[in-house]
Amino acid sequence: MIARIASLTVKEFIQLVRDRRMLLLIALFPVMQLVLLASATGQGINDLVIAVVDQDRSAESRRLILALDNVRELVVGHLPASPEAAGELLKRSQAVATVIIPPGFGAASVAGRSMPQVQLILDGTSTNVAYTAQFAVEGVVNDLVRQSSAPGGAAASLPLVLLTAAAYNPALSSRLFTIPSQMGFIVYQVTLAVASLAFARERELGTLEGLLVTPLRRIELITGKALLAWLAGSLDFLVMLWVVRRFFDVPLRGSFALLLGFSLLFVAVEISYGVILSSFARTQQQAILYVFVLAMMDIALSGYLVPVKNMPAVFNAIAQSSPLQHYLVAIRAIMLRGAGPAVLWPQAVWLALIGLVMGSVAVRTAARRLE
Amino acid sequence: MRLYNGAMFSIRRLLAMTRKELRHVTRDARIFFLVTLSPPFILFVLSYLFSFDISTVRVAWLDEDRTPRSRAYLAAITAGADAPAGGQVRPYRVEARMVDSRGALDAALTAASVEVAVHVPRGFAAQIDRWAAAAGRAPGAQVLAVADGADALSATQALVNLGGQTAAFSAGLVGEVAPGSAVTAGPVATRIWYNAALKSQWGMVPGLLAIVLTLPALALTLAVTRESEVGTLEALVASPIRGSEYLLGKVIAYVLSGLVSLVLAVGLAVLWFRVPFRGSFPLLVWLTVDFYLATMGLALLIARLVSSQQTAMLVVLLVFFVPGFFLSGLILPVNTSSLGSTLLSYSLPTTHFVQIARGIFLKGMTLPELARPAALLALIAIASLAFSLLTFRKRVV
Repeated sequence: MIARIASLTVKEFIQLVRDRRMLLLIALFPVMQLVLLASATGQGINDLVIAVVDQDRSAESRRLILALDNVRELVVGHLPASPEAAGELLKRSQAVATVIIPPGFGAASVAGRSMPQVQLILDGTSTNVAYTAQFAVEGVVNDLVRQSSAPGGAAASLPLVLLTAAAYNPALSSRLFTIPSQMGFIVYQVTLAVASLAFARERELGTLEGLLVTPLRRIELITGKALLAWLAGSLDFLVMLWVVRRFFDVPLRGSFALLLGFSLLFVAVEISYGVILSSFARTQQQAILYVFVLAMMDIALSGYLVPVKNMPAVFNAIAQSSPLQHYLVAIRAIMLRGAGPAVLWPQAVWLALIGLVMGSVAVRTAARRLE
Repeated sequence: MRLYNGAMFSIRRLLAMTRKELRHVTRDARIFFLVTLSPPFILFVLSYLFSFDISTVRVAWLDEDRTPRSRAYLAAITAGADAPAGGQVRPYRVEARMVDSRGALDAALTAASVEVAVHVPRGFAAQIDRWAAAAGRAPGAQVLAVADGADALSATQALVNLGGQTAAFSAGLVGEVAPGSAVTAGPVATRIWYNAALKSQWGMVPGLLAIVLTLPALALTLAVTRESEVGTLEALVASPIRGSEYLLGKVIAYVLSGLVSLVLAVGLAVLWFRVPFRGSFPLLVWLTVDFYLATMGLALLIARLVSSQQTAMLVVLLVFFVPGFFLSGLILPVNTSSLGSTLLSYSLPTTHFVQIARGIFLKGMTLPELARPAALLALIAIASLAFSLLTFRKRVV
């Protein structure tokens, strides 16, 4: 039995290496996709254009403008003369926020009074942008006020100050969230694509009958096909991990062995989905279309773009059945937070459970559809 | 050589084609669903999935001070939302879990069982008293909040909200321990326009319109490619209709049926999701037609280049949907740091329509204010439709 499965896998492997298109699909396409998506979204929210109305025109207010311009998140793009002109910029979306430095801002720091409040007006249209701008502006102004009121400085200080920091990602750049997710998603795509073509291609080419009359048993046929997809998916994971760490500076703070273990398990689970799709698809194109539809659903449900905990309870529950969701949680936890098995066992159990259920469904469906 | 009467472009034949196509749409339940009902339906689901509002922030709280003052601070934080000067209260709650060591703070963050770890140091209350005694000349107390940065967007949101609550508590302290001092609340007074409570749905629902309203273009692709697959193109080839009349007739029919889905989707946004509609509806209809022509032009271009219905569908999905989420400024702002990514984003109709829809819904923008996205959409529409009309040949493949 082992010998027959092995020879089938060897046949599949030869076929794969010969088929240029498939090779492209596995090797080149994912890397291109990663680079494209990561460079498009991986920068996070930077260089938001803001407008500053300087009603003070003191050395202190100029220092504030310079400090605002110097943080990664903000660019001072406009210096309108009046708050009305700044409001117009906000309405036309030419600036995402307006900072108004009131008269007396610099004088207060010299005279030892409390500094007058700096006004910040945000465009609330895109909340992600608004929060980032608010966080950046408040951080800059707080720092400046704290410096002026520190011992030696002249201004009065506040009774209570909240110092903020971000663990694991001090710059709070969203690339550390999106790039590991993209890595996981690409492993997912490649595994599904290869597995879903397994029978669809043989069926389209008319070689499936030939395979069915060989002494191969159904279960051996399915295992042999799955084995190749498993190798392809795992190999893809290693390549992606290398690319992500080498070119995108994403850290791996946890154990490599644990990450590898999760990936091998995840790839195996996804193959059962691929095999099911493959036994229903008549042609390769149809198989790819099914993969696409499934991927769309998984993108929405996996917390790939939006944290699952923000979703309403119903979707939250559905999301638990998505293997991709558990895998992404595990990848991020291991790579960014250095989490270990003590933290991640629920994800492993979920993956194993889904794998068992879908695996048996896959074997059954494939065996029936191959008659 | 023009053998039949009317080799010129004929409005009559165009309208006949449009009528035929409209009949197709209304008769075939699948297409009817795809064009008119599926956009509002998908909008409904996506609007719930793409919510960035954090309703509950879980906080690990280490109180080394253990004084009435530090407990009052905790009570103020867990009491809930701050009211920014804009007036509306942000709908979120703080769930604090007490821990008793710094090690436990770190462990809670690593396990992701909390989003933020707050450390109130020993001497917290004493420092506030010293500050009050010196009438604001001594430094105040400092509290450290560390957020789990793995999810940068959620961390930013949580820290901003905690900062707002701390500033409110701090302002209360000034009145309590140092009345009459010249110290004001926080250094920054924040107001938010267009969406005072920063509800992410208000921005996402109009933005997602740009995603779901690409479905009529997908349906058009299917209609065009199917005609040659089913074989009805042959009959059309034999009729006196010209290629440009044929294509334009189809486009008009799908734009018209697409407008039905616009009305339904806007109704859903306003009546169900309660997104304010501050602009002019006729302007939105007008610019949606602009958007439809651009997406349909691109879809026809794709249908010209690929032959089978399935491939066309796949390519249209790949071109419209996936980059729609990543590159259009829907979730993260358009990345303008390199020329390549800027061009890529601005060549997508979705990018422009996200600006238009958000502008009309939330900001009440007018046509002159939206001139740039509107003109760029028109450019995409004219270029791609002209290419398709000029290169389309009536012929059986």
